[in-house]
Amino acid sequence: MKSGGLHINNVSHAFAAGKPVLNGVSVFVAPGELGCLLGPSGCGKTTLLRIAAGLEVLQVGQVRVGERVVAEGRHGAHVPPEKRGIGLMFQDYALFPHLTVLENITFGLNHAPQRRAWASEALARMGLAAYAGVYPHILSGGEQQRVALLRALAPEPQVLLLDEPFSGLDVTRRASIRAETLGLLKETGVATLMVTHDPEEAMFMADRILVMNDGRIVQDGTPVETYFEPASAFVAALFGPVNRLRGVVRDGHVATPLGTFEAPRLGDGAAVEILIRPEGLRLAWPGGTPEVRAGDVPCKPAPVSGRVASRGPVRAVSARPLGRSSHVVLRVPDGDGRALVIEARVPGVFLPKAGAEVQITVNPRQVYVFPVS
Amino acid sequence: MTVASLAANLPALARRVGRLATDGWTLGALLLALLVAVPVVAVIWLAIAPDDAIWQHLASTVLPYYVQTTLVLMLGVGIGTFIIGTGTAWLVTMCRFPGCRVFEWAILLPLAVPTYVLAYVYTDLLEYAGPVQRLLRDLAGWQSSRDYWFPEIRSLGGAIAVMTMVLYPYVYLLSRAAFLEQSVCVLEVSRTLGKNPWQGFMSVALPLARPAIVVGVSLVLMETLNDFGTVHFFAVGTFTAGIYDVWMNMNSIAGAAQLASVLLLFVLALIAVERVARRGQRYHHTSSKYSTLPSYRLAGGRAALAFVACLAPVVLGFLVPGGVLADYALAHYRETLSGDFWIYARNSLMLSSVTALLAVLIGLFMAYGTRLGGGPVVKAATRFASTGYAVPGAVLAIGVIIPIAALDNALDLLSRTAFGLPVGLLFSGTLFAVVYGYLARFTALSFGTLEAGLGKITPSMDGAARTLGCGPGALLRRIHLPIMRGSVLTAALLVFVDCMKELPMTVILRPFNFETLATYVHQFASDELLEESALGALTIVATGILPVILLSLTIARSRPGHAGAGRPADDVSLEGVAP
Repeated sequence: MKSGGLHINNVSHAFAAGKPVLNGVSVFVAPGELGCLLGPSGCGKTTLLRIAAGLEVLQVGQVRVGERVVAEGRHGAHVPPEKRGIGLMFQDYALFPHLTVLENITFGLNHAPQRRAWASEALARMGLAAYAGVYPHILSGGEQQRVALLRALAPEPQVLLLDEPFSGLDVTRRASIRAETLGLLKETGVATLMVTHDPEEAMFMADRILVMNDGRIVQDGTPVETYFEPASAFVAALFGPVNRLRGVVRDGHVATPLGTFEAPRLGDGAAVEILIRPEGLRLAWPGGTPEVRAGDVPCKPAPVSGRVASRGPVRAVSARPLGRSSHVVLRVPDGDGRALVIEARVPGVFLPKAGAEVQITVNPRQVYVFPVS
Repeated sequence: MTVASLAANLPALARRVGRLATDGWTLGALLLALLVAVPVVAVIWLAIAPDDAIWQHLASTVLPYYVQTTLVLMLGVGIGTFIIGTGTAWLVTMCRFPGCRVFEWAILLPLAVPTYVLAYVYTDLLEYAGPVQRLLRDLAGWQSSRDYWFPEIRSLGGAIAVMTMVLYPYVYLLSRAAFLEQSVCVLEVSRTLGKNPWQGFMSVALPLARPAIVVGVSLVLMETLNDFGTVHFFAVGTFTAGIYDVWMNMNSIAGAAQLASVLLLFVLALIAVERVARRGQRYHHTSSKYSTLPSYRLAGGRAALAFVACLAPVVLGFLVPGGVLADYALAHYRETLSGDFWIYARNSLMLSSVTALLAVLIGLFMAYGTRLGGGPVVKAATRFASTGYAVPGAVLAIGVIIPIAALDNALDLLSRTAFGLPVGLLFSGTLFAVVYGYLARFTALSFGTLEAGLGKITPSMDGAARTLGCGPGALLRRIHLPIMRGSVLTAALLVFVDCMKELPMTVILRPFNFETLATYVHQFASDELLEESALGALTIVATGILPVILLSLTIARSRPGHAGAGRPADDVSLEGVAP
């Protein structure tokens, strides 16, 4: 374990006057911890990394490595990147084409013979020993990624920054390289801040996910918290397509064709948006009951609407197998003679014919109610 | 200001100085780009402010003839290079026949031969007293030229043939690159849709390669307009020959400038066509996925035909002139070497080296200036300075004479009014003017090569080196210098070789009685003394082979998906091998 960790305090940044890229961002990553900046492209993630590394001059705020201030806004200190002890791995890896693989990795080691031994050893452990003497352009994407990672780790930085480290990789290789990278990072105990726009990657890698949008951190929590307790509709929708319903709060609840859900802290008459994850719906054949777990809400006609009208059954529109799960599109009558089309994702093979009747229940942990802004 | 407040403000101060330094790069790059562009600007300025009297005289006498000859020459060379260039490119790229691997690079060899050298050699071979006609007369028993018909080499048709034979590699290079870039999928799709290989070529491959071919042909036409030696020697009245005539024989610099400005319109049209086509290339990119191209295995008669089709341009454009010159040089090297050969060689070497060095320095400054200060103004200025390469040497020479004469007159006036001392013409007709002309034309080469080299160092490589402990100095030493070394050498070599071959600017701008290898060969060949100057011509051809070797190495490694061990090759910009 190394002392320190990365502290980014209240950083704001603008490239052109009046167009802020970062707006009062604060991030702390403890030694040995892996923080993940998750957000859509253009939300300021990469700028934040560049500021932390010292490649961009800080305008407002402060950056510290442990207790050491490396950048202070308003023309304060600016420790040049080479003196910060912060490693950065680029999205395009930025391997030096004129140096061999081993020379690339030992590039940052000026007077550290024992680290040279580490470099050879690490290469061997990653199955790259045979490539030590070749130039990087003949390596595959995955191999280049591993060389770039080793190069960034070689000088033993206190903080490591990773900019979209897996985006250049084949989907088939991504999972295994992710696991390998995670293992290596945990072993070194470096404080790591990683940027990604892939929520699954963030869930897999991160101890903490920092969701960014429009230059602000909109949520900071563990992967489970972020997934099950999204702070906003934006965060909820980051993890994949969701079913969006509209409703109005009555007595702390909101009624929908799929059932009535709690809407605490929201006043009567507030217009709300209800987000339901496709994986929060459970389906069963008519007659059978969907596997009901404690707390599940059976899909019943909504009593609050006061018109328990001629609600028909829920019917399948289409169903497609995805391997481990099935993707089912459903029509839910809304009681007004119209129907709602929603998507469900259920484990295993569940493939009703178009028009077939389906039983449905909802896991309320995957239902999120937010006021309409 | 107290010491304490000064210390507190130091970082801010340092940053301001940093910004100034960046501005210094911008300013420097801008100034150098403008300096290089002055001759082009001078000619454009002339074009805008024509002198009516001269203009009318020219228009009523020589102008229509120049326009017509130039157009016919461009048309002929354009069609010829298109057919030979795309044809050979398709054969070596898509077909397998004996020797096709060798032809991949051998087809480039004629690039090493300057057009004027080829013109001298073929005149020597094909004129009435030459060996070919002598042989025919001996065989057929003809007595004189009245007994038979033989094509006259010193004609417009001869000029078209000669230029086609050395310029077709431009089209070959670009269309070959385009064929290689085409996804194999589109060709296979055309096969599955019922087209045979020939139909696939005509309906898919050729249309897809069209932008690249247009770029190639427009480069060829720029070189055609630039040529002076051939048209002067053949007495074909194109613009370039006309500019020289009007300037030398009519002694009218203004008239020459008028012609130059009209020629510039041709060039601007070509540049426009080329730029548009280059933009079009992006949309003709079919796929980023490459696999081995299908190759049509040729056998028997077809293989023989393909072999001959690829061999003929190499024989006619390189082996014949090379052989003839080597033969003459062997027979006459004693006389040549005992003459002034060494002086001419030293002159060429000195001019070319000085220009290459300066062009690399200026090019480096411009390339870094664009990278560091890179505003739109700097970009536009460096782009404009690069157009000098497309402007024919004769035009640029006029563009050099005018501002230098103005400078000389101003200096003379200044000196006379200030010190009562006339200094005369300081720079006109000096080597300074020659080097300036070379720089105006060839800086584009070094700048392009260096900019491409610098482009290979991505901003994230700078960032990676910095976070790995490199300060700015170490960044330059450990990353930029080693990666740029190849580009710097390539840039210097390209400029050097082009200067060795340069004829029109040297003829117009050189000091009285100053000869380079090129002017000496031109002079001797014009006086029907090719044998005596063959060693000089052979020297020029030999230097010309250097960039061809570089180019073929690049080609060998440029196949998409080709994973050769060793260091990545330096890109050689295509414009780098002007004959």
